[in-house]
Amino acid sequence: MVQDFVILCAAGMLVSVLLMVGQKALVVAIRLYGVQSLLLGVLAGALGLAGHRSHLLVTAVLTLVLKAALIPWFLLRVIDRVGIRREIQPYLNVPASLILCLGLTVVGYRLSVGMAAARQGVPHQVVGVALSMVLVGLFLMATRRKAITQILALLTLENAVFLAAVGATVGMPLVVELGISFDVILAVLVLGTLVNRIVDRFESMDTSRLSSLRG
Amino acid sequence: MGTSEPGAWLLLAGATRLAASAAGLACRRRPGLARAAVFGGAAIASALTGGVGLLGLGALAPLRGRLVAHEASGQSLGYSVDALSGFFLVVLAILGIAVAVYGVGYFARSTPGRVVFVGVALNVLLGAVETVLVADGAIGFLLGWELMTLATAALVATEHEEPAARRGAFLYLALSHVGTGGLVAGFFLLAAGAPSVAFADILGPRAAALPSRDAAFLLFLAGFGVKAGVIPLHVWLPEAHPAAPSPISALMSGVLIKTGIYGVFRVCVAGLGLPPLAWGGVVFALGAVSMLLGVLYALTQHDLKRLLAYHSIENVGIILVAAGVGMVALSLGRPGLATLALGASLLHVLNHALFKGLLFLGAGAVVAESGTRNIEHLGGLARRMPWTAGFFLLGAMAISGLPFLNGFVSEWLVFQSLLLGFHSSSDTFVRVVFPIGGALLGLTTALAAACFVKAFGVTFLALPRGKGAAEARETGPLMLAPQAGLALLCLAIGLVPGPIVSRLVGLAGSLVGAPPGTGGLEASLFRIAPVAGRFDTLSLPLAAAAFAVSLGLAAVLAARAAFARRPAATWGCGGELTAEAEYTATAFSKPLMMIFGAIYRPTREVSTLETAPYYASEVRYRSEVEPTFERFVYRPLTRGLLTLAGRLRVIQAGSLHAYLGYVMALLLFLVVLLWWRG
Amino acid sequence: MSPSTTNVGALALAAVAQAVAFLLLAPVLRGLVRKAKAAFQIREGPRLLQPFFDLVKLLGKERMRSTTASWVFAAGPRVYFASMVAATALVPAAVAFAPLEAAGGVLLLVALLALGRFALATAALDTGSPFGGMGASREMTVGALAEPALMLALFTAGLSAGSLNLGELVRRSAERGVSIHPSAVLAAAALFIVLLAEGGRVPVDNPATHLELTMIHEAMVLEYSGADLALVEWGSAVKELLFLTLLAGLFLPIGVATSLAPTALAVGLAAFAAKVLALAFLVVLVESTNAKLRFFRVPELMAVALGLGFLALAMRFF
Repeated sequence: MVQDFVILCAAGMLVSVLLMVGQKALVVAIRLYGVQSLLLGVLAGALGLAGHRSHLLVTAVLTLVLKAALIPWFLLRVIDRVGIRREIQPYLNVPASLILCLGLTVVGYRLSVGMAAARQGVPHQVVGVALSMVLVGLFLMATRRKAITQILALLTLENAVFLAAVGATVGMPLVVELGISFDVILAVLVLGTLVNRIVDRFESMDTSRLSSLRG
Repeated sequence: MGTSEPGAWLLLAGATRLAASAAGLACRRRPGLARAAVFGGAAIASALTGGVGLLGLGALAPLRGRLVAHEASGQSLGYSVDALSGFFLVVLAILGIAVAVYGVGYFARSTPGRVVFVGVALNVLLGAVETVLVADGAIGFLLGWELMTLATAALVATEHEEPAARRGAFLYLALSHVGTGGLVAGFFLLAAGAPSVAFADILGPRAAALPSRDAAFLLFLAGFGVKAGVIPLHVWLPEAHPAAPSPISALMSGVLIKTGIYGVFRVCVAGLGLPPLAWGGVVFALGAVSMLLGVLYALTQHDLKRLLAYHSIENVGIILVAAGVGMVALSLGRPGLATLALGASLLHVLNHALFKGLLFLGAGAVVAESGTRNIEHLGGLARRMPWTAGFFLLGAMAISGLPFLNGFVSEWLVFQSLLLGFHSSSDTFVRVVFPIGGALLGLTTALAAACFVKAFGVTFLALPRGKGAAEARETGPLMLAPQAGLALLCLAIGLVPGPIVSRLVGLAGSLVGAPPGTGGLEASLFRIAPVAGRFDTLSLPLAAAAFAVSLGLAAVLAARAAFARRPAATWGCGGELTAEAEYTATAFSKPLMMIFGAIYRPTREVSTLETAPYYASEVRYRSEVEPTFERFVYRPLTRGLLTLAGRLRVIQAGSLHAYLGYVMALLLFLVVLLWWRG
Repeated sequence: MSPSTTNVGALALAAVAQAVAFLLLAPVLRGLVRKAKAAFQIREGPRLLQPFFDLVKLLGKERMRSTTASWVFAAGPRVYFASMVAATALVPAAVAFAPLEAAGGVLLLVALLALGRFALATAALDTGSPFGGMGASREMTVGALAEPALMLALFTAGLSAGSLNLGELVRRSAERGVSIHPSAVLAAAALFIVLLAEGGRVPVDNPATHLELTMIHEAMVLEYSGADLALVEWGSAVKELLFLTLLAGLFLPIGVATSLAPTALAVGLAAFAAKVLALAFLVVLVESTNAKLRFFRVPELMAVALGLGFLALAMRFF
C-alpha cells in the first residue's frame, strides 16, 4: 500500500516538472515547484513512517518547511520586487522542448529498469522518475533564459537527487541532508540577490545578456 | 586516543606551533614580542621534533603509533619514525632552530604584519615538512606535501610587491603541482588493489612484484625530482630561492629540497624492491648532469642568492650521483658498496644543509645590511662585518670540499664509492661510467672552489664598490649565533666524522636490508676507511694536527721579521686606487665562461654610440647566458601550450547557456553509455 | 716496513724529518733548475743556493700591508705554506712509506693542494689591485682544469696498484717492479703536464716574468713582501718537489727502500735523488724548448692532460 502511495507521489513530481517545461508564467512555475516539494516531503514522510526510520521523518519535515513553503515564498517576493512575470522565448520552442523532455523521461526511466529491483521496499520506478527529473531539469537550465527559471531548474535537480537517494538507498545520512538543505537555502538566497543585481544592470533577467560581461 | 611517547612529543610540537602562531597574531602591535613568540615557538617545536628524530635514529625498529584517532568512524592519522625519517627530522630541526633564531634578528627590519605572516607561514611549513617525514601512509604524506608546497609559495611571495617574487612563487607552484601530480599518479599505481594506502602495505615486497614498477619508479623520480631541483626539472629553483627572504631561502635550500631526496630514498631506493641496473643508471646520470650544469651556471651568476641556488642544484646532483652508485651496487649484489655509497649520499644531505644554511644566512646578513644582492656592488665587507665574513668563508670552504670541513668528508666518501666500485667490479657499465663520474665530480669540486673564491672575494674583500656596501655594519648577535652554530657543526663533522659516518652507513644498511656486518665502512673516532683491504684511509684529526704544526712553523718563520707590517696603499700604477680598478666578478669568471662557451652559448651584443665620426663616446656591451633547458625545452613548451590554449579558447563562448549545454551533453552521453553497456 | 706501527712518536718524528728535508731540498732544486735553464741559454746563471739566500733575505725584510686589505691577506700565505708542508708527510720519497699515510691518500693530497690554491687566490683579491684579481681568476681557471687531470692520473696509478693510499701504492708497485704499461706512460704524461701547470712553468706560466699580461701565479702574489713572500715562494718550491716526488714514486718505483736497512736506505736516497734530478732536467728541457702559451691556449693543454688521464684509465681496464 505504501509502495503505491510512493509511486503516486513520484509520478506527481514528474508531472509537475513536465508542466514546468510548458509554463511561461513565472508565478505558476514557482507554485509548481512548491507542489513538487510538497509531494516529495510527503513521500519521504510516508517512507519514514513505514520503515520506522526517524531521520527520514526529520528530512520530510525539513523539506516541507523549507522547500515547499519558504523557498517559493521567497522567490515570489523576488518576482514582485523585480516586476517581471513572464518568461520570454526560450532557445527551443515549447512543442519541441516537450517532445525532447518526453524522450529524456523515457531514457531516464529505461535506465532504472536495469538497476536492482525493489530496494528497501522502494520500487525501482522511483529511481527512474528521479533520473528523468535530473535530465529534464538540466535541459531546462540549459535552454531557459530567465534566471528565476534556471533557479527553479536547479532546485528541481536537487529534489531529484534527494528522491534518488531516498529511493535507491536508506536515504542520506542526516548530517549530509542537513548540509544539503542549508546549501540549497543559501544558494537560493544568493541567487535571489543576484537576480536583483542582474535586473538592475540589464533591466532584464535574461541571462544570455551576461555574455556581454566577457573580457 | 592511543598515543605513545614519540606521538605525544609530535603532538606537543604541533600544539606549540599553533600557540606560537596565535601568540604572534595576538601581539602583532608589539613587534619585538611578536617576533620572539612566533619564532621562538618555531624553534622550540623544532627542538621537540628533533628529539623525536634522534629517538628514531637510535632506535632499532621503527617507532610507530597513531597521532589522532576517531573511534567512531575508524579513521586515524598515524606516524612512523624509522632511522631514515629520524635522520631527516634531525636535519630539519637543526636548520629550523637556526633559521628561527636568525629570523628574530632579521625580521626586526620588517613591518609587523609581515613579521607575523612570515612567522605563521614558517610554523606551517615546518609542521608540514614534519608531517611528510613521519607520515606512515600515502594520504598523510600527500597532505603534508601539498601543505609544504603552499606554505613555501606563500613565503616566497612575502615581498609580493616585487615582480620577481611573484614570478618565483608562480613558477614554484606550477612546477610543484606537476611534480605532485606525478606523485599522485605513482601512488595510484602502487595502491591499486592494496588493502590500504599505508606505506607498510604499498611499499616493499608487494611493490616489487608489480608489473608497473618501472612506470611507478619514473613517476616518483619525476615528482620528487621537481622538489629536489634535479635538472631538467629545476627551473623554479633559481627564481624562487633568491626571491624569498634569506632565512627562508636557507630553509628551502637546506631542507625542502631534501624532502625530495627523502622521497627518492623512501620509495625509489628502498620501496620498490631490488632496483634494476637501469634505475641506478638513470639516477646517476641525472645527478651527474645536475652536478655539472649546476656549478657551470652558478659561475655566471652575480646575484649572490641565485649563485647559492645554483650551487644547491649542484649539490643535489652530488647526492643523486652517490645514490645512483648505491642503487647500481644493489643491483649488482654488492651490499657493502651500496651502504657506503648511500651513506655518503645521506651524509652529503646533512652537510649541504649545514653549509648551505650557513651561506644563505650570511648572504642574508650582507643583503640586509647593504641593500643589494648584486655582488658587483659589494666589497670591503670583511672589515665592516668581520664575523659574517669569517662564517661565510668557512661555509665557502666547506662547499668547495676543502679539508678539515664537512664537505670534504662526504665528497671523499663519494669518491671512495665510485673508485671502489670501479676497482672491484667487472661490469661494463660500472667500468665505463664510474670513472666519468669521478672526473666530473673532480671538475665540479674545482669549479665550485673557483666560484666561491669569486663570490667571497668580490663580496667581502678589498674596497666597497657601492654605497650600500660602504655603509654596512655588522649584524646583531641573534643573527650571528646561528651562523656560529652551523659553522661549528661543519668543523666538527669535518674533523671527527667517524661516529656520524658509521651511523649513516648503518642506516643505509638497514634501509636496503643488508645483512648486518656487511657494511662497507669501518669507522672510529679517529679514522674512517672502506672495508676493502687497505684501499684507502682517512684520519682527519691526524691530518689536522699536521696542518696545525705546519701553520705554527709558518707563524714562527714569519714572526722572525724584525718589523711589524707597514701600512701602505696598494700600487695603483701611480694613481690612487679606487673601487673601479678592482677586478669585477664578471671578469673573474670570464675565462671559465669562454672555455665552456659551448655549454653556455652566450649571446653578445656590443653597441657603440658615436657622437662624432672616429670618436665613440659610449660603448655598450651586453652578454646574456640563457640556461640551456629554459631555452630549448621550457620556452618552446610553454609557447606551444599557450598556442594550444588559445585555440581551445573557442569553447569558452562566455554564454551561460552554452556551459549548461555542455553539462547536459555530458550527462546525456554518460547516460547513453550506461544504457548501452546494459 | 709495516705501516701499522703504533709508535706515534716515531711517526711524528718521521713526518717532521720528511718535512724538514723537503723544506731544505726544495730551494736547492729550484736553484738547480735555474742553473740548468741558464746553461741552456748559454749563460752562467745565479748561484746554486741563491734561492736559500733569497728566502733568508726575505724573512728579514720589512713587510708591507695594504690599507685596503683585511686579515685574509695575511692568512693566505700561511695557509698555503701550511698545506704544502702538511702534504709532504703524505708522499713516500726515498722509502716506500709515507710518515702520515694513515692520515690520507690521493684524495687528501689533492684536497690539501686545493686548500692552498683557494687560500692564495682568495687573499689575492684582498688588495683591490686588478693584478691580484686577474691572477686569482687565471689560477682558479687553470686549477679547475688541472685538478681533474691530476685526479685521473693518480687514480690510474692507484687503481692499477689496488690502493689509493700513497704509501701502500708505492709498496705494491715496488713489489711488482716496473712495468712499462702504456697506461702508466699516459698517466705520467698527464701528471707531468699538471706539474707544469701547478708549478707555474713554461708553457703554462713564466716564473721569471712580471708582465701582467703573461703571468698567472706571479700576478697573485704581486703584493706580498717580506716574510709573506718568503712563505709563498717556499711553499711553491715545496709544491714542485712534491709533484716531482709523486711522479718518481708512482711511475718509477725502482730502487725505493722497502726496509730500514742502511744499504736499502742509501740506495733509496740515491735513487730518489737521481729520479728527481732526471725529472727536473726534463722540466728544464720542456721549459727551454717551448714558448709560453697564450692564456686561452692553456685550457687546450689542460684538456690534453685530461684526455690523457682518461685514456690511461680506460686502457688499463679494458
